[in-house]
Amino acid sequence: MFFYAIICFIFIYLSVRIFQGVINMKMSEKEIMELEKSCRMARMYSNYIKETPCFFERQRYEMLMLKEIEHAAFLIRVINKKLEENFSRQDREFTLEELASFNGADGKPAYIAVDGVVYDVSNNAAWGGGTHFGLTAGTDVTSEFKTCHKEQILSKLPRVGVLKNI
Amino acid sequence: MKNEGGCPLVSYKESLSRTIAEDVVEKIKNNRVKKLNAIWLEATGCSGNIISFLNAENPGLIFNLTQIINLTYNNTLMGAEGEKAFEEFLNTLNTEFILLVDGAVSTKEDGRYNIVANYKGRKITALEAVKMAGEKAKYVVTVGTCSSYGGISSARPNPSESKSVKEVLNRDVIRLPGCPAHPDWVVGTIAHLVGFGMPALDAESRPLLFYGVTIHDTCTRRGFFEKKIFASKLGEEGCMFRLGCRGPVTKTDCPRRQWNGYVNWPIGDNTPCIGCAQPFFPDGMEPFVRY
Repeated sequence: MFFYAIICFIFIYLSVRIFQGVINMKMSEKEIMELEKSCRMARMYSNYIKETPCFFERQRYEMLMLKEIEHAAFLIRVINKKLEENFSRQDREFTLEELASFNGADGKPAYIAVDGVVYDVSNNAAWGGGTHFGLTAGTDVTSEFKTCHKEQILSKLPRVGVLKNI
Repeated sequence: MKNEGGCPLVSYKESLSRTIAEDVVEKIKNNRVKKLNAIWLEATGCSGNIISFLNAENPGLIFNLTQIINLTYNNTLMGAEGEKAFEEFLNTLNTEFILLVDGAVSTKEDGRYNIVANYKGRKITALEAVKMAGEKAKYVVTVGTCSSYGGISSARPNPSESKSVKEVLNRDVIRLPGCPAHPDWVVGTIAHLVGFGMPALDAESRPLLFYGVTIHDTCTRRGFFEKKIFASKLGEEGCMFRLGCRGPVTKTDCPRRQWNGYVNWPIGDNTPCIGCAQPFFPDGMEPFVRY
């Protein structure tokens, strides 16, 4: 009975981790495929080096192999970065009242909420004095944002958390 | 100074209004271009741009009025009065002229809140005068933020239903925003129009010569901004970004050109920029100072 419980627990735990891993892997699918390709190419070049009698060809394949290895290292860095970003660090949650206190006045930081995500605009040049074309920081500016900007510019803003869903 | 890197400021710095104006005067003397007529029509404005125009130094007012354009109508500066003055206006309409509009255009009740002339028993509204001249002008230049974008005349709640000149005229205009517009910007643009035709304009129809980069890009306190040394109250030396400076969103050359005979400008005198040349001035630029 006890044994059965342990098996269940292990099974559930593993599937959750694999599920998380799958999500993360899915997001870097392209990079993983490229990584595999680079490894294959490097192996192929090393085979050529073993086979060819020509010195110059060996030099050339060595250079190509090193390039593939460098590319692979770069891809690993990219994948690592993606894993870190998607790893769910506990996002700070804000209620609307808490958000209202971060309005940029008296040296406080200036935060705004768009689509439930809270961003820090304290150092954003367009938000001088915590205000922007009639809007004040510390508020949810989703509707005004949508009438004026495209979503891409949000990716430049530092993210500080999410709005709490009540 | 040759700059192959492509920084626009370096080449534009050499085109001071005076340089353009002198080139144009040469051309006029050599009969390569004609001196154009000009009408300066003040609509729903405050005359601030006319006062600013009087402050022109490079080149000066007399030079402008005698050598570059033939200003036939300006309600403040002209000698003629009454119907005779408006006849000057009407006579210029049949020639080649530059129309400069100062102040927004009130449209409430068909413009009846802003009468610019009484002619042969009829009251001529600003709206009608702008339309009359705007259709026939070779170039239309809107001087000041009010005529370029509505500005203070059309600030909330806009009881006079003032509109920018472009909204009323429906043709291409050259915008020279600013509250007031720096005399150099006006004179430089006029001289360029007379001698070289249309200057290079940006997407908002402002000449790149003067409105090419933001104040933030050329600000004397930019170093403080980069190092995040901010002033916490007026009078301190740091960047006034946290106090509500609108330098980052305002495109003029105030830090370089400066005002009042090139001696001072807001940030140089410890007060933040209020974005007076910005399209959304004043409602969108408030609050001007924020603690």
